[in-house]
Amino acid sequence: MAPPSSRRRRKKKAMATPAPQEVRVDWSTLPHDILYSIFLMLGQHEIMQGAEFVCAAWRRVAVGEPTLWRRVDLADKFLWLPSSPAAESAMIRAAVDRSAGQCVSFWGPLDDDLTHHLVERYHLLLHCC
Amino acid sequence: MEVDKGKGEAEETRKVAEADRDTVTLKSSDGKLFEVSKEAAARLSTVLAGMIAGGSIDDNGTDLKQIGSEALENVVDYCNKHANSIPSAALISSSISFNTAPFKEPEEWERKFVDRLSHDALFDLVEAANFLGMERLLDVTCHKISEMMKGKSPDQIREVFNIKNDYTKEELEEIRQELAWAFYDD
Repeated sequence: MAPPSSRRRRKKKAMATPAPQEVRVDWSTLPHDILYSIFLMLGQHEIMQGAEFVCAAWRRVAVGEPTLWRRVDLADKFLWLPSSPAAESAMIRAAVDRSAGQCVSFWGPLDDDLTHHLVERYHLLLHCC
Repeated sequence: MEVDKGKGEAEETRKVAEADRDTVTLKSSDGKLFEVSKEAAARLSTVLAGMIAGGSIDDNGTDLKQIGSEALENVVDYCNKHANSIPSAALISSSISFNTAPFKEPEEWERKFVDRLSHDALFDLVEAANFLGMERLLDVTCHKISEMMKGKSPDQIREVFNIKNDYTKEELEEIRQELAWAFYDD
């Protein structure tokens, strides 16, 4: 069996930096399936404004796993980005589109255009509250 | 329990004694040995359960070449703590329903267990839990990592997790077009 990749990485760095406490793992190398499990535990608004911008590998998990977007909940929306109706709308569309047709429910602010988009593309049954 | 017949009597006696042992010995990638309760290992790790059932446990230390000694020590520590803290009936039912049941919040001791780890140790432990098919430990470690990301901007997350922004120009342009919510004021 090959040694784990994290060990390889660390060994390389350890030679350059002798003090072991200064050697730090690069978390962009976290295996895809583990990161997927982590993203399942994050709110989608957290993924869309934080984790997926971190690096290319993390973004691939965010946009490449339709099951992360089966139940879109963006009611609890903007964290650190300035908010606007247009930005919210773009974010919601992107979230639902990432489900690749698997989106079964949605919570969040809706305007007429967005409602139309969701009903037309996903045949979502909308429960207005 | 079945034992290998046909060897010397002394050897046979030794084997009988070891087959009856209630612990298994695991060997880390760097050659350190750890003992763990056979019952806990089989209950908490699908991989170890398979090895125990399939008889591929080595009494002199089952090689786990993917796992370093620090991570393996944490795995064994977790198994022992788990064995002591939760009645096995409750645990068995929760592990059976894992795939359908929603994630159960970490218990107080599980929270403390992951909170004391360095970031590097947490990384190695989540990989070890994944490799060994330890669903509960994987859940607890993933939950901890998700907590470390919550409410943080990409820059803050990069800092916590020692990640370089590696987007190429093309990728950034693609993101800029798709993720209009992040760049709406450009």
